[in-house]
Amino acid sequence: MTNPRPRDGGDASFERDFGAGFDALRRRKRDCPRAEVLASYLGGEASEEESAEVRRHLAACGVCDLLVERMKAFERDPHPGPGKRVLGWLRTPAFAYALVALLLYPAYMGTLGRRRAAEVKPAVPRQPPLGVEPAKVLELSPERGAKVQVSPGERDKVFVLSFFVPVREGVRYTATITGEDGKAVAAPRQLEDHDGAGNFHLVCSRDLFRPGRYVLTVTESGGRTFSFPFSL
Amino acid sequence: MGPPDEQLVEEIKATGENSCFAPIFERHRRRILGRCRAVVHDEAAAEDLTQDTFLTALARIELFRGGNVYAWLCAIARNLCLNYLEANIRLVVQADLSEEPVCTPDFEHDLAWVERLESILNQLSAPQRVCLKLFYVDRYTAAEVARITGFTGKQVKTYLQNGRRRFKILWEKKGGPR
Repeated sequence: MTNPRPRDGGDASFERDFGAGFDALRRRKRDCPRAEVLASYLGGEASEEESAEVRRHLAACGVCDLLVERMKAFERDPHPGPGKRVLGWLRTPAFAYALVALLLYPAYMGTLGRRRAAEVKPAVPRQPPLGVEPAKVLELSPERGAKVQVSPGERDKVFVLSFFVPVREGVRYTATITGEDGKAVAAPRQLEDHDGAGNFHLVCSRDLFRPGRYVLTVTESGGRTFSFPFSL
Repeated sequence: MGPPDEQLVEEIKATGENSCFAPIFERHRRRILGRCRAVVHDEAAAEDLTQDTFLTALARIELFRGGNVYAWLCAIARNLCLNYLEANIRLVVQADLSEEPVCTPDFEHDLAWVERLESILNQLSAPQRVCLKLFYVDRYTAAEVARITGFTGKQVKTYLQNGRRRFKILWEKKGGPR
């Protein structure tokens, strides 16, 4: 085989520097280090001074450079333990990309959600879902008596009477609603204390009521009564 | 599982019972063989080097000063592989000693230029760098470089041409003429 001395059309200054540079390297080249020194350099056991000396030599010596390059294959464990295998897998670019995507997705969704929330204009009152209608709550007060005018909508199927009774422990309460004619709208109903403090809610069917005056009477098992007049 | 390596080594040291070395051989043979194979690219040579590694370790067990037994075995295998490679490469090199190069004296003390050259060489791929050094520093012919490195003649020419082209690009990036 002939010596090719490759040429690629470089200019004269490059040719001069290129040739002269390698000449300078050749002059710097000293004897090759012993195999043990190279081995300890490869194993990371050489001293700083020895390592620097080896590096200096490697810069100028093709043969030792070749040896070190070949020996780099030795330093890569071909059968790493399970821990190293997992660690190696964690260091792969694919894992890094997957992790970034995993972290970015919730951040993106959060930004999107905020943007969507900002775009919503509360111009239209929120409607209840189909098939569910809110019940109108009518606050009753014995002091205000008959002045209370409650007007559940025509379409309301139920309404809620909300009232307060100073409850006592161990006492039961029964509610009765009577109309102008003194007849009970429905059978008396045992009341369950709503919050333990005496606030009650009584759900009433709209169909049982016609426009007019009514009185809600709460009877205590001890005999006391509380009246809450209201009109529809 | 069995007893740990370090305990087995201590047992061998204390009793001289070489059979205690068998579990160590079984545990680490495959990994050592893999490392040797990666270096020498020759199954038979890798097997020999692996055997030699364990035989050397057993023969020098008294020199084991504690620590990780596998790391110690690796150090022995590394030495043996290096000796093997060196012997093979030097065999070619000895047979093809080139003439003593003639150098331009003004560059001898120009460390800045040499450092610049080294930094450019280090940016080349390993085959390009090795081929350029063998060809331009050690003055081997392309055929000799092929024999030393184990590359084909065509590969060597490609590495030399591409290496030189890349070298020029990097040289220009670093400021061009000295």
